[in-house]
Amino acid sequence: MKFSIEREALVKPLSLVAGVVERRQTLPILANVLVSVEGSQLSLVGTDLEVELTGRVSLEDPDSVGGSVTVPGRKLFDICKSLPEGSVIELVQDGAKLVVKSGRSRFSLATLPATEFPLVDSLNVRGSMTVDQQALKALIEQTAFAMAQQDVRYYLNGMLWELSSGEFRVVATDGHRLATSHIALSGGVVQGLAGPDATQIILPRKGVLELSRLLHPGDAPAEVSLGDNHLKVDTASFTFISKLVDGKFPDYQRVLPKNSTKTVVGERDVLKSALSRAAILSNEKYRGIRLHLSNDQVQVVANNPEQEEAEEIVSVEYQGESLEIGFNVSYLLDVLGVIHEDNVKISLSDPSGSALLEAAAEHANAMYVVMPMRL
Amino acid sequence: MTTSLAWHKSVLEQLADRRRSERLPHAMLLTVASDLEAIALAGALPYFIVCDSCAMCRQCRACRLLEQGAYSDYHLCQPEGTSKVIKIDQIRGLLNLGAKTANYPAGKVLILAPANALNRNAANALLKFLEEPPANTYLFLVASRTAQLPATVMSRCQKLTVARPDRQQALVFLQDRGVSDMRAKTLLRLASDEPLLALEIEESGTADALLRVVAEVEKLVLGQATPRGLGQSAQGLEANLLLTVLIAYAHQAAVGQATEHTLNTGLLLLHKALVELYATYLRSPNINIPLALEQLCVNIR
Repeated sequence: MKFSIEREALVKPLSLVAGVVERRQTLPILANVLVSVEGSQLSLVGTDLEVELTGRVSLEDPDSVGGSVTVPGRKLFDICKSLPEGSVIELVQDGAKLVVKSGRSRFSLATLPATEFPLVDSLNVRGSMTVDQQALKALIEQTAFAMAQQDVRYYLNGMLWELSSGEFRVVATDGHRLATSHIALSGGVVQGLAGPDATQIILPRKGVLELSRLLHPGDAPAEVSLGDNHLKVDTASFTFISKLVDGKFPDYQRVLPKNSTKTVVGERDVLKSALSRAAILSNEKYRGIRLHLSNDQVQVVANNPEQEEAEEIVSVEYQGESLEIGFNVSYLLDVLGVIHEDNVKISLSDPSGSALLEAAAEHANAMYVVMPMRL
Repeated sequence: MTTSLAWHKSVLEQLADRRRSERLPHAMLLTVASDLEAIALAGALPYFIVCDSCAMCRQCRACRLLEQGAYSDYHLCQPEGTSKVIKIDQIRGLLNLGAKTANYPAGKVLILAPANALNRNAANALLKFLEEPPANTYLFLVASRTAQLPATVMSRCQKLTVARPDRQQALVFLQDRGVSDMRAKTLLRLASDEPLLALEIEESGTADALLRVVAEVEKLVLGQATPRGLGQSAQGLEANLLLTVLIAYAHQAAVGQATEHTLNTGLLLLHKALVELYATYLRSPNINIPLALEQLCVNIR
């Protein structure tokens, strides 16, 4: 293998891949990245056995020679990054070493054979779609906060992805609140669906956060494939493969409140700042606040064990009987933090029923369910 | 290179057979004679479950990845570092892998060895998994002292006892590792026919000292020596080995002396006292073993 490349062109995919590699190094080969050249395409692969990431860049060097080998990822990244800007780097495989040359610098790295690299086997695809990176990133950002963290119900430590012929939906929940969002897909975008039922997978928490970091608004659309055991997201510059959570996600449809009797519409910014002020004097552990709902206004009350009290009155659009209901204020603030429209709509029924929050706009595609608190 | 022990062959092949016909349960408890054997069995086991031909072929991709330790669907939990127990964090790590889908079609293999090293919290953390196992996942607990496992764990596993090697297999095992025939027989007597223990004794270089201790105990039982002498001969020996050997001796002697109608109470008492001492040692490893032995002999007399 032999090729030369501009420093910047190499550092970009290498930094993506090195991010996966560096975390856990129980095995020498996992600290390595697989460098391979095929025709004029250079690909770099890093894995931690849970997430596999391939960075790709095309070579302009006409004399490149194909081949593949693995080298320590972190070291290669550090070397390339610390070379002067604008320099041209030449990588040549020399027996069991990979020689990195640039100007008057020369580095010789130890290698391990490419055949030992634990690449993921081919996927058994159950459905795939092409989606705009911006849209996918937005879906993740709208819902990722509601994922559980290290819950014993391991199927909650991730995000449900549901693909059907006309719609792609994501759902995240930790048992106290639920976030879901969807995008409508036009005909022909979805391929390979086995039947009329939606295909579901659960992407682990780590994979969700990693993927959201990788997606780049403005770049070409991503090809998303849902497999039996893996999820693959393919773009021009990277391929992301993650293991899935092996479990069944709860039926989110049954959690969405259907017969709410009271609808409150308020300004998001006003509500958010009132709630975050009241939160200061709520119980630090349980974060409970009380909402008193009456005609055209909602009163927010927070108490703490030191007998301190916060009270805020916010004007909202509401007509109907009054209601008193308690919530964990962090859950409400999390939701208001990811709604970007000016007005939010809160649907309630009674003090023990869950609240449905969504943007008060026609095209709103995200819904949030927050369970109330008995105070 | 990982190898399997000759006398494990039949049980490994039996498991491989059940794997091929998809009759393997989600959790199995394999009982072996010692912790050393548990580790040895745990090392060989995945090769018979995930290998393409379920036979440790060493040719297929799964076997080669296992050999490098890069097979991502296999996880072995054993006490880390100098610790004697498996901690709850290790079990959480194990279950985390169990909750994710497998990278390869052969399924996930999770092994705990020796499972008797599970501490109480770790064992409890395992219960949820045993109740609701994920698909395509095989858990093996390899234990030497199953009595130390909580009943809640025991009752949720299918049990299988691994046969102990016969004398001939044990001798061949030691001879293959360069131990002469005579020496091998002596070592096996010390180690109550436990070849791995015999090998450990030989490799620790304390075989002769252990023999002297056993001789001292023999004399003591006949009233020809003093506890002081035993204490002195036991000085500086590794406590775990020493106690294991002494318990094995007391057991053999008691069995040897027993006739159809009578038992040798003195030897039985000695055996019981040694087992108790061993349990005390496992709880608090800092006790002075030679002194404790002297005390024990005085008490029995």
